[in-house]
Amino acid sequence: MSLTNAFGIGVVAAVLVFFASLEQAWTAPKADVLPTADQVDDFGPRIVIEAVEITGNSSTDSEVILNVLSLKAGDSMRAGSAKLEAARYSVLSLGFFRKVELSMAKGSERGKVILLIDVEERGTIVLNRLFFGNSIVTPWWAGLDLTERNFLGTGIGVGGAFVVAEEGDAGGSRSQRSIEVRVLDQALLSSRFGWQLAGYALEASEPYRHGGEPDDGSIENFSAFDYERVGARGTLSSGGGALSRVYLGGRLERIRADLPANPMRVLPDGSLGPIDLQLEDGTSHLVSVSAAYDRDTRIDPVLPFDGDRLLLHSEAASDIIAGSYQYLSIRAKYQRWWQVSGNIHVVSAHFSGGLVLGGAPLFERIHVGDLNRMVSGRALGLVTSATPSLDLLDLSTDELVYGEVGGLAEAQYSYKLFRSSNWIYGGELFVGLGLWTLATTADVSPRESPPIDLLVDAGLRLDTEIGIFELSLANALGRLPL
Amino acid sequence: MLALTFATAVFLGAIGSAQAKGPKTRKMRFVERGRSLTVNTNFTELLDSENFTALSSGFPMRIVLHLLVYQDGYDTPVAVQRMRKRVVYDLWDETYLLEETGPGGTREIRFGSRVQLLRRLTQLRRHPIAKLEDVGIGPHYFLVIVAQLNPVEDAELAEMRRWLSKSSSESKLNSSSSFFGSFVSVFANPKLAKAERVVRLRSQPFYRVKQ
Repeated sequence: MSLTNAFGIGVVAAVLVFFASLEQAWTAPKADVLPTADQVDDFGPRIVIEAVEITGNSSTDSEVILNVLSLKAGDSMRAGSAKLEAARYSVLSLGFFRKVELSMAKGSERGKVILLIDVEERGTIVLNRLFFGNSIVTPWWAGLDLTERNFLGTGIGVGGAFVVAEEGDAGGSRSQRSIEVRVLDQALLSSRFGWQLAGYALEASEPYRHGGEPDDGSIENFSAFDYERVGARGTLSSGGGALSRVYLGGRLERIRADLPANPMRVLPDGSLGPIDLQLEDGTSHLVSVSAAYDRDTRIDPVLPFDGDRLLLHSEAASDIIAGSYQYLSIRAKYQRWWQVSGNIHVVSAHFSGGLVLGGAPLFERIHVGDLNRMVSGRALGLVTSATPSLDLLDLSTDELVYGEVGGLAEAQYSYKLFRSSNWIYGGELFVGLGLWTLATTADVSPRESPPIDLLVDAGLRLDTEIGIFELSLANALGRLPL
Repeated sequence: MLALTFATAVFLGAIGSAQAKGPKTRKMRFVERGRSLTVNTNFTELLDSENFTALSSGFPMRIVLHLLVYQDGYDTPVAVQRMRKRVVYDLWDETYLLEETGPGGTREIRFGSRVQLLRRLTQLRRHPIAKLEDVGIGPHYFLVIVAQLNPVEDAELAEMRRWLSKSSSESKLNSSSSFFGSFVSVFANPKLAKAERVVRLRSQPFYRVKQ
């Protein structure tokens, strides 16, 4: 199958998945978690909402609140209707308010009421992620990812992220920068549909090995080459019921690479071998479409103890229009949690895998840090470490940096230390043991076993009012120049 | 090292705080009536002055009660009962309408006084908690009461938490590096409580004698 065909199939599949999800959206409405009107609208005197008055919203537009309310002037119901209670949680779900109080006042005539909504606003700037660490090839890197979830009170999120990495000592290395800005709206006019637009730019200095044993992470074994990326992507999403969401997106990107002429590596036996840097020299372009599916049945997404989560993501790039790369990328992740022996012990299984077919640029291939948490992952697209994997099973995983086929299977056990309603909501100790693999499609052979290694992790997770903290062995290993 | 010290202090503080929470012990009165074991007790702390005022807001209020009888030394209750109380204020008649749903069915009661309503909402009088045949003669038992004010269903709560935790990070699906990566991040975490207020009470041990 040619890649052009693969691209076409990818596009068709993405569109089918998207429209299939729309079908699900209408056949599995949000009411699956809320009582139906027949069940709840049966208690108290009948009322008619004459008007809705909102107070306390100094920065949030009243329209944003009215959009999420399932109630409006003219609606008739019983005063004990659960629709009224659900309305409070709809407003709270916006995440813009610390407190939402609903009450009623008499209207202009018997049976008519004024619905009063008093809100207390909260800070809506969210710190999504912190980036920091140091390694042998990067003296330090730092950055953060922020989102204002209620920009100018419109209910639209505006976010941005940046990472700065100091120039390292590898030959040809320079400082690295990555920046991203995005605008997102998860519920366009309170519908099931959302959208996101993002622009990004990177100045990368990618380290690559030109000598030394695979487990030798010394700086003299590495050089670096530069490339720049500037791009934009757009995503449409649709909520399929309460538990799933489907995404359909597109991306345009320009890449400018300054590759060394004929890069060679001195192999351990002293011979020379060519290095494929997996980028086109000079200016190239990337044009792709993508589709993703996210189904999440966990009761608590932060410290899960039950339910499962499935993530599917595919992306197809083509040179049909203006692109320089043709590839098809498929990634999947499935996680499942079980409570055992009461609600203190939780075991979970985590599987993820990916396959990249065709000539993807290196940054779209699977990086070892994507699978093995014990080495540094990419920070906003930048590779900041060249520290090899520990190769605990001595199966040559220390040679792996990028691949086209990879996977991780991990089992975790967590012990619930406490749950509280105070500012630390909960904490748990966990240990995890897994196996991961990464290979290039050229290396995959039925006669040879793939390079596999252990993933070992243990630590503490805390769910607090200001965020989620994970203090773990793998997290520390990924940030220290070991 | 500072970060580690801070984390340890936070952790120990949290455990201490969490351990301080648990069912309060309350002296309750148990009486055998007919073929049932009944209880007299109250849980007035479920409603504070703000909630008391809110009874007249016209907005519905809901209380869910779970009554669990345990034999001492066992984790599984010998009897479980769930009750729901809903109350709404009629703005024009200036009366309170209470609906109680329990094992005996559903009934509606109208109150002219908010104090009378409060008493009915937060007291149990001669309330059956178990069949006598489920509570053997001799062993020690105790009653646990969990009273929740305006509780949220698990599925609804999960949906809201998912919504809040994801709405700022939709872009993560576009990044291959974070697609595989574990959930290691720091972000503002607007938690929603499972109920506005919860009271957990545990009775003194009691036992039946042969009559």
